[in-house]
Amino acid sequence: MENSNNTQKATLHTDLSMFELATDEEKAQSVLLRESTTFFKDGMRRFIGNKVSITALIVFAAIALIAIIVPVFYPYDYETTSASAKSISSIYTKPMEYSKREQEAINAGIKVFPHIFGTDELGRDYAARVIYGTRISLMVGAVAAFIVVVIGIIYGSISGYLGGRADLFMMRIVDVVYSLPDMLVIILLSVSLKDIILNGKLAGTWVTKFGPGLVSIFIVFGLLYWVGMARLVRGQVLALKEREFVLAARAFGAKPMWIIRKHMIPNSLSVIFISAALQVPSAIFTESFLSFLGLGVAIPMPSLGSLASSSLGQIAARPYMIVIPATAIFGIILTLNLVGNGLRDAFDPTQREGGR
Amino acid sequence: MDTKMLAYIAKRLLFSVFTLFLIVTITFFLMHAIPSSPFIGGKALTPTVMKQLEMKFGLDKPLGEQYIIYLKNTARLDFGMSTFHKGRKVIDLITITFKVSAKIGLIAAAIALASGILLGSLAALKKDTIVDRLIIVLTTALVSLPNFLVAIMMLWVFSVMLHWLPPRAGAPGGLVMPIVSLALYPAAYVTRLMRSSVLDVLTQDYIRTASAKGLSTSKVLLKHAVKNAIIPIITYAGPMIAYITTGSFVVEQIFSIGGLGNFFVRAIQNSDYTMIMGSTIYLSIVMLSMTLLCDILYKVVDKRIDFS
Repeated sequence: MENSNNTQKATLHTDLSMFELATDEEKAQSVLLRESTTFFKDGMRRFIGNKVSITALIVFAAIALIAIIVPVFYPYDYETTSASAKSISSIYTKPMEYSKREQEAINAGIKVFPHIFGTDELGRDYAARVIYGTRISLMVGAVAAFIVVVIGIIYGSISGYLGGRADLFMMRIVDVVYSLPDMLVIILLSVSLKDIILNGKLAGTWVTKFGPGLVSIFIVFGLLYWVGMARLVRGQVLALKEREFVLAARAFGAKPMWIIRKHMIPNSLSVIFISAALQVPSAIFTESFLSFLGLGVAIPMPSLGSLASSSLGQIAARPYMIVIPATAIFGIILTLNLVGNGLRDAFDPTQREGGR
Repeated sequence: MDTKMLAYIAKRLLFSVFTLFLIVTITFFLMHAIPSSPFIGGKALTPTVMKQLEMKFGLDKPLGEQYIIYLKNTARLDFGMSTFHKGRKVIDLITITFKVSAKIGLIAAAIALASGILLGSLAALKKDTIVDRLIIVLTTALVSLPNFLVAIMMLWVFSVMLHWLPPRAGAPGGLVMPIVSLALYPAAYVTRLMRSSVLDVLTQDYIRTASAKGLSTSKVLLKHAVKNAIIPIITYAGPMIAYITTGSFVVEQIFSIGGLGNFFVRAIQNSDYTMIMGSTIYLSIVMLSMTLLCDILYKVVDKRIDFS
């Protein structure tokens, strides 16, 4: 025994035999007053406590679910007309009414699903068009946010991690892109891309089918809107670089990319996520605006913006045709903004507006 | 004015000029990347007529030479002739329509700033009361509402349903709806900005000092809090004023206002490429100079910021 004790002292190893188990009485003393919590759990607790944000999230989820699921079993799509092919003049149908051809079918004993919101001037079911339009708008928002996040993370983290001259140069580029008047560049790019896609080499490929408007919106977001995210990520990385755990990783010989992937990005995820959540409504905002100008999605594909714009002439006769897509745009942007604000308040209290 | 300030102004000016040069270049190459000819549309043209037209507009020269000519012309604000409005110079069309947009825009911007500063201060001073809550709810809703939707909704309610206001800008009272729909979003934005700015200022030491030396509450608020809280608004005001005065593209179209925004949209729809190029550059100049002006003003007003 004496012998082994001596060697253990020399190697600084702990001698387990010197410890004894805690009695139940001792265990009771160290009862947890509060369960240990992680950053994520803590933020989620605060987010769930925010009634406004949770309500907004539920409403948004309902809108998204309708847009995703309803087209699967809905009897009408956005481009098929329900009127007879012969009619040339505009053939609006009022909500819950039927076209001539459908009326004949009903008289013959066939069941016809009602047009909940009526039909548009070409006899296309308006409810189907609104639902598909919502789908397009949501998709634009999601894809645009994804593009922004990916480019922003890669660019920002590299710039922040490299530091020095490389950082200075990369941030100058960001400054230039940032100072471009975004609406003008978006319009300019959309105009030229639309023409290039429709008349140029890309004509007839999958791009045309997908719609030149949509493709140009994504390109525009990829070219312009990533700068905000890149600045944000760079700031995070610059701050994290000084932290002890990064120093430790470097001391162990970890490669830069590994450190960025394992330490920098996970630690700035909450900030990235909040900013991305607020990017989605901004993309939907822009898309509806472009569609309103006729630069958005390709005909006959509907988007909420193009529906509102094409119904403008009907404002006196059929105001619901504008009110419905307008409400959908407003609902989506408002709920997403509220969710984004809630996330920001919960995960990043320092940024709260007039908080403290 | 000290040298540091001058250096800052020079640096910002240079940066703005570079940005403008970039926009001019992007505009040129994007418009040349478009495969369809500017003369297509309307009547079908024979190849010889097409050649003659190209020669007239200098489109037969090599791209590099065209670019140099274009840069020279742009520096003199000569954007050539409109391809849609036959016989009209682009710059003439722009200056005429810009006056219309600027008049409406300046009124809207003034309303937005005044109401935003007023409501924002009110919300901050009455923090956590029903007034504050109401203002927050209202502004949150308004910043989620694109201005073309505001315009359409107002058109529906006040023109179609109530017949209170004319749907077109030409009639008396016709400018009320366009101005309001232009002003609502920036007003809501300024309100939120002002609210958090005032709340921020109220925590500063000099406010406590002012109260401690016996200044009345209203004097503290007006002379120290609100005055200092306006400073951050300046940076937002620049781009905002530029954006509104150059005409919101859609609002002008909805109310049939003959402003630059409306002409720009119609140029897009008519593929009037010289007009598109000219308007883009003109609007960029207005926006960049407004931003520059307000950034410099911000530095002049707020002595705390260093210029490095």
